[in-house]
Amino acid sequence: MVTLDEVLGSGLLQKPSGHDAPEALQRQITAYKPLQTFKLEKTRPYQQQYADIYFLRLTKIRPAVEAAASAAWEGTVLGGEKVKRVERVLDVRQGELCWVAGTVYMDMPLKPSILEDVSKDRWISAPTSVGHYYSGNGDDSIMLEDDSGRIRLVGNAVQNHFMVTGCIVAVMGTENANGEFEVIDLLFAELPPQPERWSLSKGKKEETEDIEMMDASFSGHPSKPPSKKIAIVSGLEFSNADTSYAMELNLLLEYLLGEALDRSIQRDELSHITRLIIAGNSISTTANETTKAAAFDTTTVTNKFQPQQHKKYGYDSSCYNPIPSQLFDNFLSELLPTMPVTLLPGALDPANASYPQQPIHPAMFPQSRTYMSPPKVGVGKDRDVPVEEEPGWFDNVTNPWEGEIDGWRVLGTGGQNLDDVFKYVESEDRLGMMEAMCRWRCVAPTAPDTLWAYPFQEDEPFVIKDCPHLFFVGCQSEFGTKVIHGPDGQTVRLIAVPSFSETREIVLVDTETLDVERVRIVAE
Amino acid sequence: MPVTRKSTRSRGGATAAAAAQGKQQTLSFNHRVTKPTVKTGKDLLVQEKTPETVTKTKDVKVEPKVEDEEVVEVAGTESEDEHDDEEEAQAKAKANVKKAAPAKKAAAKAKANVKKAAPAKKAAAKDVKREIKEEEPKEQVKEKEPERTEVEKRALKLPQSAIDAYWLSIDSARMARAVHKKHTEGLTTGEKVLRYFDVNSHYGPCIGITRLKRWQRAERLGLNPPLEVLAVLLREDESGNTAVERAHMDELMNSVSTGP
Repeated sequence: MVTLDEVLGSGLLQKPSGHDAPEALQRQITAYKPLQTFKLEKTRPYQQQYADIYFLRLTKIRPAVEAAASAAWEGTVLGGEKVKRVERVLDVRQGELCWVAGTVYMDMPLKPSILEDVSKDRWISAPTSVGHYYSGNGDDSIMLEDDSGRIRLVGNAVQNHFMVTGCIVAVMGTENANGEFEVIDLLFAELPPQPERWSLSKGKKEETEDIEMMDASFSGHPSKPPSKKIAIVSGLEFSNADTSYAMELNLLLEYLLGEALDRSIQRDELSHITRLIIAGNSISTTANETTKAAAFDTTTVTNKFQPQQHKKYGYDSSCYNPIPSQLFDNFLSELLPTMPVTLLPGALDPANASYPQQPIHPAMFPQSRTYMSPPKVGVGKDRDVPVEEEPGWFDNVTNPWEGEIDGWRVLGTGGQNLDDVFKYVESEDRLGMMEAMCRWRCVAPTAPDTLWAYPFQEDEPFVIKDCPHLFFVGCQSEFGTKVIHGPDGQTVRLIAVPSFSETREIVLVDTETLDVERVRIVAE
Repeated sequence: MPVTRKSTRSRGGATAAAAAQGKQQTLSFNHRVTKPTVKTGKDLLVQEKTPETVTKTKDVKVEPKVEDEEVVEVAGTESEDEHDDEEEAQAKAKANVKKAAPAKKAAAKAKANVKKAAPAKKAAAKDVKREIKEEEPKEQVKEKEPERTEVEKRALKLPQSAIDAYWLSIDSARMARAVHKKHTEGLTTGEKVLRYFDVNSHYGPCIGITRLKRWQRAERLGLNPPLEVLAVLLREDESGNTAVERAHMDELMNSVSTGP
């Protein structure tokens, strides 16, 4: 009888060469704590006026602006005259050197105005272009406003800064003969105080340190603790009409799963990607460019482009296209078993149209739903998941969103706020605008003027209270990153995340140093 | 409507009692539903809002009826059959309710617990998450919130003289003579204080928000609104005057004109 050993020796039956099985790579985990800053109640009323938003914003930011202004201008003497602080905007007197704080209002003829539309009855006209509101021919005027009134600002100083409706500013100057305020100097509130790393989850710090040590020993790396990375992507735009980037989406999935490239890269780099943040525009239900542009249109309600709708009133269910969300759901359900995902809605996603967008409903993801935290029934009248609860592995969050990842405070949006600010100014410097938003302490200053927003009455969450360490904006046309510094030593890493459907790029952020890498996926 | 035994009984009992009181019979469909229904989220929402504290009149005690067993237990003191008890209670409720404003829902049933020592206090415990078989009335009787914040307590302690002195200080600070005094003749000092608070743009717009909320928002934002205003608001609130809830300007702006 032939025994196995004999057979083995003779070379007929061979044991598998190499290791028994390739050891499965472990993905590391990062501490994650989302905040509910932008969550709205389900039973929210809409009877309030929008003026409350401006009042809240001014009241919250004005103390900081005035403190900065008095620190800078107190005791300044110009032309023999001492600068005085003036209480209200209308208290400025001609020829008197003074400084005052208020809200900026940009009066632009190209800006959509509901009053104009109503008076001219533009209900059935074609959608206006979604280009700039900035006309550049002198028709635009910048005004400073508070609860007493408005004055126009003129002077060269205002041209050097980005200004949009809704940012709080302190100006020094004097009123000239025309009744306009000539600005000599301009100040913003600057970056808010920045909390330390791990300020929200103090107890967890020791835990993650232990895990890091364990991982180092498991993967066999000697000394350097493995650097964890967060992947941020936006503009996946799954659609069944446009398949030019479908191959890249597939490759992206393999990349994130850790199945692409060779083993060493997988071990060294891919397994270090600990979380994926999808920053908007994951589903594209419109096929052609014109409808896409109309989706960004923030003009009046009725100016929306009507694509081949058979019914004028009511909902025409024949134009519903389930394929994009199914494709997205498939993508997520393959990715979710190995990697936690945070999903922010964008302008094209099936979430509400006004800012702050609420999380996409779990009903859109029948397969990935199992990875979400279960809905709580009957907990309070809002049925919010309280903050102390564990966030789900698949966390659908609001847009904009604030949270803490690995100790760093992160603030992210889906891009609508930056796109709207872009329309007000002449420059193309997106990172500069992001920096300006941080220095204005307002994440969506143009809400509610040209960016649809919920009429907040009690508290306005767009005011940035704690300076984030990382501020990303999704769905941009190209990648950009910058580090800005504040007067008290704050540092913020700004990232403009490009739209994947256009650039095929994703962003990797190192969780220790907050360095940014750009990964481009190319299918030959 | 299918005629059941219960319905005839209830109709007999309720109508008789109601007719005796000269009041309108309120239709109650609760006992006509013979299958247990799951309360939807909306109803759970309603249940939660029911007042759990004792009302001022102490005549009507509203409690969530949790299970039939507990109801029987509660009714044990009255030693009656469960359904009869409901009818009796219903009649008593109608007799005892003095100040109850009409409930918003068509079916209103108050289980009157005339005995002060409520045996069903545990039923009245805040167990609103369990399935509730019978609907609850929404009591419109104003009830005092058991916890007043620190500020509200201080405001309540302010005497009327303090409010008058505050108004006097505002009035005397005005340099111009009051020309249109005839417009303010009918107003109480409290109302004048409130209107002055409304107009003060320092605390934000007064339209689209109740005065109390506006005051609380100003307090929260650190603007130090005058305590006298809160005192007037709470006083009016206690005496059941809802006309001063919103700013007068708000009512004028939102008023709908009906013309020919």
